Amino acid sequence: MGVIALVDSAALLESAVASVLAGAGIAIAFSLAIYGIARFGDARRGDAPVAAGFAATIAVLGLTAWAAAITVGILIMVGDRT
Amino acid sequence: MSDDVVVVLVVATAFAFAFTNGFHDTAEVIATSISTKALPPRLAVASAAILTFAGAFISLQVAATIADEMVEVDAVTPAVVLAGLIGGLAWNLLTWYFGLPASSSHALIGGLVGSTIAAAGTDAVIADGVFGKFLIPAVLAPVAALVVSAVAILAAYRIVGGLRPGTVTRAFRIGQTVSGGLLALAHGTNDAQKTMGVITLALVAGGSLSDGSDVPFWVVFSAAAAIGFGTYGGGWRIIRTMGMRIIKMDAVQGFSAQSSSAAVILASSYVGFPLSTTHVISGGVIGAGAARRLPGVRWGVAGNIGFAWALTLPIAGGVGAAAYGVMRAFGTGSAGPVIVAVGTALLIAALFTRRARQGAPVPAG
Repeated sequence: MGVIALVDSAALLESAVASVLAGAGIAIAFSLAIYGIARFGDARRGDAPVAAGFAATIAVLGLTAWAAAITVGILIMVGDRT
Repeated sequence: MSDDVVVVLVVATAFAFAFTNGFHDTAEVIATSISTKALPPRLAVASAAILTFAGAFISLQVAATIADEMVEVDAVTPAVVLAGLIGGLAWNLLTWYFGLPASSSHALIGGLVGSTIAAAGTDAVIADGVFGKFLIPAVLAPVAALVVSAVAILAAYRIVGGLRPGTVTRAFRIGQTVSGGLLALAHGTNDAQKTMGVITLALVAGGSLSDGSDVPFWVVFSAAAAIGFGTYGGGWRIIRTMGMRIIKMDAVQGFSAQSSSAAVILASSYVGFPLSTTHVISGGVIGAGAARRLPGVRWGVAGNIGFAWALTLPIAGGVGAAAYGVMRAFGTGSAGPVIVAVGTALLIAALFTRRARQGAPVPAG
């Protein structure tokens, strides 16, 4: 009980939530991008423009989310510099 | 005058510690990229060195925690800081010698707490800081990395599981160049700051800085350079343990382990928890392996690493306390610290010579 009271639980919770969201989010976003790119290639070869468009959208969204997550992480750190 | 001599010794020892931190911990940072062949070893080491150097400039939260919240500044002298650094340095070198990925951060804080207790008793240790900002986050962080990495790898396999393996591997190797870079950056923000914090503490204790001062730029730059050079020196023995001996990783696992570890380290640095990058990365690697196939993790190797972790604080603390005891025996003016520092330098030289004669493994490429 005494030891628990010493912990800054708000900071610990903030750190844990941010870790889970960022860690899993980055992996999911990048996986979606890969999925979209691979399916886009298959759909184009199979002459399925609608499926290709859908796959391209997933790829772009995945890549954007991945790049954004990394950029936000770095910006938060830089903002914390002072 | 004698304090000035000791502060110079502290700065020199702190840079030596940062150098060992670089070749020790950053080996762990790049091990996953090398083992999955995402990057050639030399390129992985060089890019990690540059990004670790850059990362050191990003945040100073952890440096402030080390300088202000672990031990009472009034009770600390430059000799106490020097003894603490020697405790951390000794453990770093010992674990490097045996190729074990133990924590430089825990070694440093353990050494500092040990030397402070030897010099001024347990009252000089700030329990809130040591437990609340260090020990408890230190225990929880690898667990968090393990869980996040396991969730990440399960999600990734679910999404890309139906794709051609060759495509997936090539794509995730590219992803690993970014996630590995992010991890090196995160490592720089967290680990270089520990050296900065300790030097700042010595400067305050020696009267060169007032309590609560900002970390001077030369300290930031020098600590970043020392850890960057250490990274470039490389710790190939630990790379082998981390990258190949815990689990045999594929590129998806490497990516998930790196991304999850970077997320945990960056989030913790942001709130000022000086956690161990070693523990976090090991947790990430084990999580990525266990989520895919539990028996695929070499639990014996993981157990050895866990055993080394458990010994880190008591041994580094014990060496820190003993170093301070020897200094006090010879006089804490400048004679004792000089004798201990020279003795430590000779021991380090002997250790490196012995390891060089035995021949450390050198990577291909």
